Amino acid sequence: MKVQLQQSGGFMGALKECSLDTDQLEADEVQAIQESVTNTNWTEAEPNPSAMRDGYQYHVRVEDQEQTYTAAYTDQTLPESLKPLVGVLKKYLKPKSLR
Amino acid sequence: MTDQLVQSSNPEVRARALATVKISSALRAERQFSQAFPSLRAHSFAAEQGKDRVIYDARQTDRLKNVIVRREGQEAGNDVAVNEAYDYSGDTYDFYESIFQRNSLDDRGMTLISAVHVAEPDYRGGFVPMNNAFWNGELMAYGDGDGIIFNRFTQSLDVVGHELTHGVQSFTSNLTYYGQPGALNEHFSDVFGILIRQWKKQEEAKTANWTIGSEVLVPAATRHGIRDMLNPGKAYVDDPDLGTDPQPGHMNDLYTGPYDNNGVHINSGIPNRVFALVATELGGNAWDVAGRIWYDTMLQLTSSGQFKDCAKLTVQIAGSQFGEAEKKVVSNAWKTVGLTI
Repeated sequence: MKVQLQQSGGFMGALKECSLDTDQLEADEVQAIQESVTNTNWTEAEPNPSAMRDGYQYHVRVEDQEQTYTAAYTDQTLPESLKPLVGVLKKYLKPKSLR
Repeated sequence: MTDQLVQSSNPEVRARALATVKISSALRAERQFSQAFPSLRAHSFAAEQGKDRVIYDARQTDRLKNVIVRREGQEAGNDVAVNEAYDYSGDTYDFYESIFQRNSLDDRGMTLISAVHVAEPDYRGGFVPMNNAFWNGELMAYGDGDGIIFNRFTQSLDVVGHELTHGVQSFTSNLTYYGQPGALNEHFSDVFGILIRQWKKQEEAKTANWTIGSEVLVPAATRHGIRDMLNPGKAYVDDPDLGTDPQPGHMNDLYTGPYDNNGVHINSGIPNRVFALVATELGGNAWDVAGRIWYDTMLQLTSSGQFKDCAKLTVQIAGSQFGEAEKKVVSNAWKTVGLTI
């Protein structure tokens, strides 16, 4: 399975990204990701114009043998089911140029 | 402009515009109610009583209102983050009160609520320290940082002032947090964040430090802050953990992509540079003239304000409140970044 996380915003405002194959990860990390993918309803989150300032935005992409899932969230719309996946991938984020 | 945004084909823009209309209506109704029935206004705030602070300790969880650890008037304890959140939110209150005669975020003595030691979930069901600070519409939340790239976010007075200014904006211009209005929202938070620090340290504009969040970053040769208002794009360069500061300092380099709510923390570099140029050119204390112009602009802009609207207002206010010389300085600064009024 290929997984990608792009994180932008936050107080810092910089873009960070990681793209990984789950073969590269530890067993407990793979399990957390697989559970996230299975438990998530992959419909795009409704726009949520909140009063939050300096929160993060997340673009998530998962490719397995059968299909590809993509969705965009904010700190306030990120579903509980996806937090483990985001928690794993945040450890591997690297800076990415915006241009 | 909001009417146009409500019709936008972009669902996120449309939703934000609709929310702005709802918030504006609610604020108008609240204002009308308060004017008609001032004695009936709910006293959930420490109205007209001056500074009122409450500090919560999230205790390394994401429960923001976990445990109250300090209230207004209570003595300092041993927790440095609690003391910093208390002291710096107090400095921010004092700045707005003494320079602009503003009584807290809502100008009615609203309680300043902070949450420290905020963490975020990890994948094992636990928590890790948050590498961020944010305003959630009700309170300021501060993480402790990972100790590798980020220190605790309460450590920086300009970060605390930045977050609280988001609160001030929610009661004033309420700039939509997307695109150029969102970049102006970030800009005003940086402006008053840095002014609070300069005022506290009594630094004159020409010799002041114009870097946002220096204390928040673990020191390294490739970084000196989170944003550099005088030199956008130079706060960190080729940093292995942060990359290179993406802020532009000219309209030719305006970011138009999808990330960061269409670049709210990125494009704020353009008006940030204008403010720093104006303040250093005028000299003296940045909060006296430049700060006054920008404060009145923040109050007068509408939620859909663009850079050109901000430019026009600052030039107009500089001329009407101060004179031709100040007006020319402001106009020239906008011209430097590619906006001619």
